Amino acid sequence: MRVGIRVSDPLVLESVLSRVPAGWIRLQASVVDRLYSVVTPLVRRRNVRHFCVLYGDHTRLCRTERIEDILDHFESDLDLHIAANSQDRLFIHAGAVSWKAHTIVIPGRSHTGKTTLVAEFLKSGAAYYSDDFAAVDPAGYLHPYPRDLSVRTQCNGFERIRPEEFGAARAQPRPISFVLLTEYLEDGRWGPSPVSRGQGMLRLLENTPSARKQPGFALGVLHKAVESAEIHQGWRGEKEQTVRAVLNYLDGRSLT
Amino acid sequence: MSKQEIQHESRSPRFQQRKLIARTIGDELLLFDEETSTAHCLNGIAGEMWMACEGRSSAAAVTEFLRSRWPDIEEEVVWVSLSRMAAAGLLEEMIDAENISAGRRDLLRKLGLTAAAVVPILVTSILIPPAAAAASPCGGLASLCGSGKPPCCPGTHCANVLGTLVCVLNT
Repeated sequence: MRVGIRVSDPLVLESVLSRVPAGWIRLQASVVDRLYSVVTPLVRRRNVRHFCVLYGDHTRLCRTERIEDILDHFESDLDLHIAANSQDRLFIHAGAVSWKAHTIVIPGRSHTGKTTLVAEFLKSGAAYYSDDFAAVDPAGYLHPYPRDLSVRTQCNGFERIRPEEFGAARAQPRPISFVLLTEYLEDGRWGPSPVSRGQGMLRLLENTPSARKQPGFALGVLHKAVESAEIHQGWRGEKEQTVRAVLNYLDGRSLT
Repeated sequence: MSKQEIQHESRSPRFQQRKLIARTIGDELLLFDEETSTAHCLNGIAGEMWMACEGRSSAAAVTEFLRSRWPDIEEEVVWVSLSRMAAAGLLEEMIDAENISAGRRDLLRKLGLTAAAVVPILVTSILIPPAAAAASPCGGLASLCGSGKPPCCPGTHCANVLGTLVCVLNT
């Protein structure tokens, strides 16, 4: 996938490139799939508000005084664009970690508590695949798509935390072994029940941005991905209890 | 087959699979409708029913096919199930309204209330949200909605179902 980036201030380019997923290569291409433009004020005048603007192709995506907001928006839009258009990987909107020989996938849209659980798994010693998008190859193997975790703060803001700060190692490509379909419920108690592979696939499909565009590919990859996976569904209460229960279960004990 | 049965068979509505992407997952069948971006998961018996409608099949023919695995299944129950699948967009129903007698309509109404209890036919459907919806929190089909919850995804709306606000498909 070819992505073009242009900036009005060359000093901003490094910051923008730091938000591109690892493994990118520089190309001399005149045609790109998506062009991002970052416009920042070059001259600063007193008593004037200076805005930074981000465009995706011809659409204005974000206008703000903080360059950090522009970078966050760029990263989020780029991830979504990759997820919706990738031809060789299937991206599921999910957090993913590995624990010993097990891989755990937690599908869900933004702000459904994926990051909270991923962070808690990492604190408990799990290795890291991704916080927001799980990348699966056509053979059904999960690959790392490492991004900093956007952890919600008490003031409804977000704090970016590098996975290394939790002491988390990068996980190795593996088949999915455990899918956790869960959402936070105030005063909720952790009591999951197993779900059939078909029902589980339906939920994963719902969180696959490319499903509408390439349903055949999505179904094929998801089928492979859940072939040997256990799928459990249930409300969750506090993150610590949920994570402890899942890790205990994977270590051979009860899931509740 | 008696003359009466032949006449009944020739007047029965026919059901045919719509062109959907189908994939068998163990006992279940997953279907994807590219026109409506809807995915459906059919349990074992519902999947077999759908598979039996490869050509233009009558409820009697489908019943006959299913009896090898479910010997007690009744034709009327199959007929109601097929009609429901047709209403959900999984099958095309070729029907001549003049051929449906009032008695059969009554039967359909009666069975409509009890068929689900008679045979454990289960079809779960979801609307696949557009890719952009992944970026914003919106409630998918059957998600809780209302105060303090994310709004429902496009194609669904918030409705009171048995006292709980959940996102349901737009009709």
